[in-house]
Amino acid sequence: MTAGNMKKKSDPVPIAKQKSELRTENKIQEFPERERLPKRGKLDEPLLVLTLLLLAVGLICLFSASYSVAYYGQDGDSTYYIVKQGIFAAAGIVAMLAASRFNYHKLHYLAMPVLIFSLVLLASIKIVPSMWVTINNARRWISLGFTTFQPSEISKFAVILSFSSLATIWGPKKMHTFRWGLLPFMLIIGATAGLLYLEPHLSATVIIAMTGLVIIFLGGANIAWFTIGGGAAGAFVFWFIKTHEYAQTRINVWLDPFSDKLNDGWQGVQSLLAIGSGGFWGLGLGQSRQKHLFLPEPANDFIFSVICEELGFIGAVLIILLFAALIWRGYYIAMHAGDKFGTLLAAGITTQIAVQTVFNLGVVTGLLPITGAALPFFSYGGTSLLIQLGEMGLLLAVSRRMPAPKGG
Amino acid sequence: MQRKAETSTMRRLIFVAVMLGAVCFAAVIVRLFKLQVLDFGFYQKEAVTQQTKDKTLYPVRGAIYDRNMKALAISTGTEMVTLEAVKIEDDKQGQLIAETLSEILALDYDTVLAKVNKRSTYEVIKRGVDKETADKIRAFIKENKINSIYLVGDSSRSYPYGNFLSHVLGFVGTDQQGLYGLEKQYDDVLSGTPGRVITATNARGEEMPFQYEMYYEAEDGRSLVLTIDEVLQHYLEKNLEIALNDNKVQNKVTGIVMDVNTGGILAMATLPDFDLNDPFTITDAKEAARLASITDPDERREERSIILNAQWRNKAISDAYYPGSTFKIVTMSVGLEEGKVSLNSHFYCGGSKKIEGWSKPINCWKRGGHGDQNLAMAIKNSCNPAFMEIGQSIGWRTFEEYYEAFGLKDKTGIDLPGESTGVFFSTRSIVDLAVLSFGQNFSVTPLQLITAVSAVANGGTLLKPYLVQSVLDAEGNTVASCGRTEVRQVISADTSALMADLLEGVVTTGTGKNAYTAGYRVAGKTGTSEKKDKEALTGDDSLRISSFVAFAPADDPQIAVLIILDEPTVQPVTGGLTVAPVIRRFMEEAMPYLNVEPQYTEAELQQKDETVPSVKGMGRAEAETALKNAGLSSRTSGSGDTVTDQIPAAGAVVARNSTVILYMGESVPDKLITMPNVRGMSLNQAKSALQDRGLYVRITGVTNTKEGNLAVTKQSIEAETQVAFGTVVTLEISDMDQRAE
Repeated sequence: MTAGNMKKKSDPVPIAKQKSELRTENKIQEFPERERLPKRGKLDEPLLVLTLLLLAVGLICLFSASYSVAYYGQDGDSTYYIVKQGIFAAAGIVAMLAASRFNYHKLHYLAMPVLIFSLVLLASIKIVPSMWVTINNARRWISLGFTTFQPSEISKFAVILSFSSLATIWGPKKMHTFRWGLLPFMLIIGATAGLLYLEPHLSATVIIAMTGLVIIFLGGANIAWFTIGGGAAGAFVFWFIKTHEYAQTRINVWLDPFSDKLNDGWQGVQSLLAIGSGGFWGLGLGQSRQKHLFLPEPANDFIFSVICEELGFIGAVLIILLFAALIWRGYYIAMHAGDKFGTLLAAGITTQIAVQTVFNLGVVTGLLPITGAALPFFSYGGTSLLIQLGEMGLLLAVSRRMPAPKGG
Repeated sequence: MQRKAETSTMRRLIFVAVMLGAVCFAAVIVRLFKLQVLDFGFYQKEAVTQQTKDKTLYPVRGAIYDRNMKALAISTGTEMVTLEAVKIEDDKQGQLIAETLSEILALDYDTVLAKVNKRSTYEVIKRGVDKETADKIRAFIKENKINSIYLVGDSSRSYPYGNFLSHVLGFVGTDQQGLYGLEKQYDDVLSGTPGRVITATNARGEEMPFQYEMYYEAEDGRSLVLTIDEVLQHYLEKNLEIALNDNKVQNKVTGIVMDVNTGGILAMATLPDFDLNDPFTITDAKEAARLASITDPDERREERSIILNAQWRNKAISDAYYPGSTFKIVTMSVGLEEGKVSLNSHFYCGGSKKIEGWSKPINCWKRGGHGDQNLAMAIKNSCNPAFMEIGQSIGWRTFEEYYEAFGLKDKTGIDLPGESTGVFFSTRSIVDLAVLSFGQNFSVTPLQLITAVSAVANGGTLLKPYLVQSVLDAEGNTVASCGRTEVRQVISADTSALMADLLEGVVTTGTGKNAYTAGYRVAGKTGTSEKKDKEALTGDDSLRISSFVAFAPADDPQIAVLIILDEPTVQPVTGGLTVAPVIRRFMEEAMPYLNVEPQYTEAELQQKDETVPSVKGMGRAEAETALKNAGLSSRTSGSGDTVTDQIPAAGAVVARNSTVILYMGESVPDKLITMPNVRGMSLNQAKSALQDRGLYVRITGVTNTKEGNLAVTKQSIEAETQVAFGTVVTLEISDMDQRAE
């Protein structure tokens, strides 16, 4: 290693590159571990392949799932959604590859600005509500003219980034204390959740909270808090359900959607019918019947129901295995990251994808109560796909700086 | 050294990875296995139910025609109101729909609301809606911009002649399903095959152009052509109604007319009847009042059902009765066929006969006895002792074999639902054999009896009776037909011919003489049976069933007729007095309709009816000659040269040799005459009573003989009616001595 360094220094290096590296080195001085980060190497091919595979399968499924809603909603233009999504996917791949070359350590700088930006963006719902778009009684989108995006997507990334950064900076000792290891994080989650409540957007809140909790957990937070917090949350939920009749009804509808299949149970029933009627082998790609306006949001929250109906148990399990493999690979990268920031960042991104996936699958299969949660890489939504692919790019960036296996 | 994450972080990371990367996904896979593999059947069924729309295309029910293609039951185009309740916008609209539909269609609001609230894709609200009502609904749909109510083609049943042939035709229910009679028996044939359209739909219930659709066209029902002759049926019903009223019959009257050579039923009726267009209304006012007085709803519902079933019951095939003396036809046929008796046989009747095993002698209806009689006289007199003797000579075994051969133990197999069969003796004693010989203590259905008698008439072959002679498809092509079906040869043609002669004697000079039909050779037998079964229950021994079975013409039998009055109450109630005239009235109309050439005897010719010619404008001599040629005499009134008016008017039918009054220069006096009561008078008394008042007479009934206690039993215009001078009254002459049981 010393030899290598020596050799490199003696090599003629273009002035510009030297300067830029020097500048980088200087800035990173302020953070603890920068000097030992390995140089950029090869990106993690398994993760790249899995991501592209999921994206490809996701686009195919979206085409089928959105066919009917596009036909009815967009004047017979059945390719409306797939074309838009395809454009964002292409842009997303470019973003991913670009991000994979990024020195993720620079993100330490961005952590607080991004967090503040995301909170301001969320707060704009009160300041400039005219920017926001309301769909189905929820105000979750900001319009950019040519497209819309959900600020909560940025919040997700902001929380991952800021939590990873803070947990790294404070280190395990501080993380074990309430003052450093819990309070600031809870304030961030609280502020984000409070703003999301204005939309409202329960599923994003839960995903952000879950992801954030996993990061501080990994960052060394005291396990006792999780035990106490989990107990308190459980007690609160129990009390809430006992004292609020509508909550009880919702729980009943969740447990048996057929009990109210025309009203509150409609979505759950339609999803279960789609999944169940797919059977083992499925009806065949494109053959879903439930997507013809029976299923709510067949191209979005309930895309997996359509997949189950068309591709059957066998196809659904294969797709789940692809997701599982992607998530395993993400955690693998987290475990082998060159530094702790890399570990937490990779784990945070992977956790967010994992929580969102599990959340979506749980909802459509009736394991969890119905809340709108999109399926990563599959659900229609250009900006969120773009952000997801960008995040995968960061994961790849972490993978590029994994130290070579010892003795390997 | 690199500052990699701490060991505790690694442990925690592995925990998170296992939870999120394995445990949660495993839970989802287990869940999917349950949904897609274990519970697949349930979800598939539920899904298909909501994804497809299954519309029924209703076929038009086939018609029912009489043998001359007169439509007796037809289906007419109507509309059906259906609801696609999933398209109802909100509860408010649902309520409006329920209110309006229940009002326009006269339906129960709650029932309609329940259908509305089902929010299903297809509910039938009402079928058989006429155009006017449908138009109201169309207006409602348009006015309120409702897209969930549909009007589709339907058909509904109607019976153009109401009560006509009601027990045989039967009727359909609200869903056009055959409930009774032929409608039920041939429901499969008549109803056709409903078509279906199965379409894949989206959640709005809209059909999807790029999805599959299956279309099965409805096949309209086939039509039935009956053996029933609408004209004969009308004659039968008309005469049964007269008999019902004349005799104040308590327990209905029934009649069957059968083609003896094919087994086809030409007419079949039970009265009182009911309106096929409104079969659920109780026609008997007394029963309806009794029902209304029942307060307990369950009891009332049950009682209503009992009353309706009795109202719909086809007595001709469902109610077994003691045939009484009409059964002597069978006894005598068997005796002749088996050679136990011949025309030369002699029987002695002392008014009763002692039968071994019975304490009292069994009486003849004529307590004084008939004395010595030959075979022809025995049946003419309907002499019980003679028949007991014939029965004993046949013996139990042979008699029972023939009883079975005549089909009396089996259902005839007629194509109607609800046919029953009678009860035969449980023991085989000599007393049983004796009463069997004259038709008591066992029962047969009217249809079984007429089928057996038809065999006697047609040369000895038992035929299977039937009502449908052909089935037509929607284009009118015959797709199936039914004709004479022989069951077995029971007696020989010789015995058959002999029986026809003997039974003709019953009508010309025997107990059946009131059935005598001038110009036609009618053979037949009276019957009056005690209702021993009902007597055992009520203790009332006065109840009788009087009946008459006949066939004609005796020399070439074509039709057989059986008429039964169950519990006539105007005394005397014998078949010879109550039913024989009914048979005659029917034959008088049926024989000319069937184009049977009348053959009048010399005596009949003397009494034959004549039609009055028009002689107005003629000179006196010319008019007199014209009338003389027409078999009428004349006298004049006035002193003119030409006939200016006449009574009776031209075209009137009067008895031969009636005197026509010719008015010479005058016109018929414009006065009204009060009709006298001539019932119970002899013919001559009646004639003079009427002629004295300037009324004319036409005679029917027993005109072939002067023997017996002849009296006027019916006058065509009721007493005390005001009629015009010169009106013709038809008098019916009966022999009041016909009290044979």
